[in-house]
Amino acid sequence: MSNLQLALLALQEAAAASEALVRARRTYEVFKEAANRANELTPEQDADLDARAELVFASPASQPSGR
Amino acid sequence: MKALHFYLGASLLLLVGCAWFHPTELKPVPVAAGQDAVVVNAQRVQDTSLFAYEQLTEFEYANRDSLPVAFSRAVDQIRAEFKPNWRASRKALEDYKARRGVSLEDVNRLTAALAAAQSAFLDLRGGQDAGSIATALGAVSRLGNNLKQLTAPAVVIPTP
Repeated sequence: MSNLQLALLALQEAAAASEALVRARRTYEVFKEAANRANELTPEQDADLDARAELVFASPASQPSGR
Repeated sequence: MKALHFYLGASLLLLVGCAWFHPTELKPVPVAAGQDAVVVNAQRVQDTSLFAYEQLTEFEYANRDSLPVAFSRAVDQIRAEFKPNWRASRKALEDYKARRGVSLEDVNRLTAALAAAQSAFLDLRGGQDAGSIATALGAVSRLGNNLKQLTAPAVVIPTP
């Protein structure tokens, strides 16, 4: 493998690593926020959670793959 | 050679980063005085399990063409089973809060089943091997079984 190919591979890996780190950071933040919540959700927060769930369940990613 | 060093460095950074941010390292804070710990914990896990489900389904959707068919089918099964089960867990918590026949043990069992499902979703998102697929499908199935037990009608023993 030439140096140029290695450099391209390294760039691809770095981009993937950066993307994975952003995703991991977001997961950490969501879990940390939940872990730091010492009170029951307010009625508004409770309704927001249900509304978020309906958005997630209705999204294209939540539909069968058809494979 | 420099490129090879950079390549190895980036891979190492990815591994260290993923280990550093792993959510299972988090310890929840104590529940505030006067709050029902069962409700607070259940709501925490309902929130995070929804996020883990979203991460998994979005990953499959975005990378469908390069993923094995078995993985997509497993995620399809999770799509079909998690949605009604998550909604049912919300209803069960509502019933518990209103003292409508759902016990503290029922809610704690459901919360544990949701937590197991969310861990399995995160693991499956990280590595799409047969073992992770089986674990995730088992976790979703156990969640459904817990909900079935909750809503099962009482067994009536006929008198002779």
